[in-house]
Amino acid sequence: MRVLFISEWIKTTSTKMWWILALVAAGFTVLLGIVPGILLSGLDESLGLSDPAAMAQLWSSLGGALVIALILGIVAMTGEYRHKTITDTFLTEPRRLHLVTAKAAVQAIIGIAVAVTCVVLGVGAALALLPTQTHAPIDWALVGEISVGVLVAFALYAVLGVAVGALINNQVVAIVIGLLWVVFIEPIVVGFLPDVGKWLPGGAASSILQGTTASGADLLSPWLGGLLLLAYAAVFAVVGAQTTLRRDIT
Amino acid sequence: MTQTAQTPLVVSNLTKRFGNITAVESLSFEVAPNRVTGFLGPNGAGKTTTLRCILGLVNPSAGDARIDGKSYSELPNPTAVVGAALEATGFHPGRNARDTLRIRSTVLYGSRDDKRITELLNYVGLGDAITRKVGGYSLGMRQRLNLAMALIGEPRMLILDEPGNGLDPAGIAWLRSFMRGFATDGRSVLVSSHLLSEVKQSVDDVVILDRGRLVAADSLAALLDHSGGGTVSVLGPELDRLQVVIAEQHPAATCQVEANTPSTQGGASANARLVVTGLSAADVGHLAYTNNVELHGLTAQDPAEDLERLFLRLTGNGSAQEDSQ
Ligand SMILES: Nc1ncnc2c1ncn2[C@@H]1O[C@H](COP(=O)(O)OP(=O)(O)O)[C@@H](O)[C@H]1O
Ligand SMILES: [Mg+2]
Repeated sequence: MRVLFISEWIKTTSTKMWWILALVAAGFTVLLGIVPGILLSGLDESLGLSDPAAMAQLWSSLGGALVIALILGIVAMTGEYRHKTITDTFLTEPRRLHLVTAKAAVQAIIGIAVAVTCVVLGVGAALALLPTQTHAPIDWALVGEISVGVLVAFALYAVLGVAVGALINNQVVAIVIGLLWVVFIEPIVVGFLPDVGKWLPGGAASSILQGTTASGADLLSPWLGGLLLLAYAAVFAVVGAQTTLRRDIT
Repeated sequence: MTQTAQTPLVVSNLTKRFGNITAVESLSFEVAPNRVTGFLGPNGAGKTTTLRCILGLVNPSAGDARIDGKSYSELPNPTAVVGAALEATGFHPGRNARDTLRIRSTVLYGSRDDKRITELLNYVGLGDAITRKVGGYSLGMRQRLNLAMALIGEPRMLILDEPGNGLDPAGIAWLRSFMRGFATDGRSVLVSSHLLSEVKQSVDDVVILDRGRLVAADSLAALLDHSGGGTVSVLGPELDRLQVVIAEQHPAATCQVEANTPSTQGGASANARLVVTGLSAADVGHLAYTNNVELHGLTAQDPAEDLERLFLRLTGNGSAQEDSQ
């Protein structure tokens, strides 16, 4: 298992995809989260950052690119089919579940790297722009807590992405379904049926991202949320390893 | 189990259906140690499907393949036992050759083992392209990298699927002598091709497949014997009379009139030749001499040409299947 992990590590780090996704995620966080979050507050007093709650809202946008972590995992798994490297991969390690597990472990770490990129560039952009506005003092304890949540959520979403890719081998189909789920289906469920929504991956991710501070009645505890995400990933991975990954590779 | 100890690969009653297409039907054959086994058949005969079944990449509908008595996925570190270079395998275009090999060498040896990788890439002729991205490789270079992937585990058996595709003549010559050299010290090679001519200099045994069915499995030498014990090509103005004489005195021999260099219009004799199977050139010459038949040419045919003829006959003239991929 250790050698398979190193093998998968080389597989990921020998191509550009992971840092392209890291840059996309960081760009997303900075340009669509932090920058407008700060500049818009200057236009409208109701968005004013002098309210600590608005500052907390700003920091929570550090996790705004979570879907990229899901795509990272999906691409890592389905890329093997897209580039037809899956033949050599299964020749090296015929045990499907071993492979998926090693891949998920590597993508968890890459997910953390992507999250660190988002947090570092996001906080950096905030520090650069905040002096242009009046704002409540920076609560570094909160920033730290949210950052840890972002790291954990990205790691788990990357794992989930690998599992989704194990279940759906076609890269385009898997990404489209992943995006539809995250962008449309899940928000609707969460909005109308919060009691169901909190048990979905997105709800579980929110429980981690918002940490213990903002944990309201309609979210699970961060620990439970994390375990739930792992459980989703485990089920998808095991089912994928038994079904889709055992199909003929011709 | 003593039998499997001597027979590295045993394929038994292998059948594979894709929907209502039967790609391989009840196929059984063995690969012996110290031998290069040619796995031959026209395009669409089921070669790639069979090889992928052997390697656990395609699920057989029935039957199985055993390597040292085990299925591929039961082998611990299988790439150290069997090295496979298959058709339709891909490489990540953005990854270089060394990293591509490291992915496997890590699993095999617990470390990247760059020294081994460099030596191997030099050996297969990619020494200048070690750190170049595979996306820029030619088809022939990919074949060489495919071979390096098969060899990195120092396996005892090689399974090569149409390895000559994309190689230049020098590359093909290199491949032939490589396969011969590999199949020693108990090692073996199973090499597929749709061209008998491409592998006949390097194979000991042949397994011939047509439309998923086995049509011949034998040593190349035995197959050559069966192909007629020699064929003689005869030119002359009295081929009809010679044919009668042969039929009278050697009923076991067969005669066939074939068009000869149709472009030349040099009289009846130049348009046809008589192909006699089952007699030596000396036999035919003696018959002609004792029966006063005038001869203009008497040539023992290249045994390889006999084999080609046999191959085409066995596989029902493969070219009809050329497009059914
Ligand atoms: N994935 C597949 N789905 C349907 N038919 C297939 C598939 N793979 C191969 N075949 C069919 O199986 C037959 C054998 O193909 P193949 O094993 O590739 O032959 P060969 O390698 O001898 O050229 C062909 O008729 C081919 O069309
Ligand atoms: Mg083929």
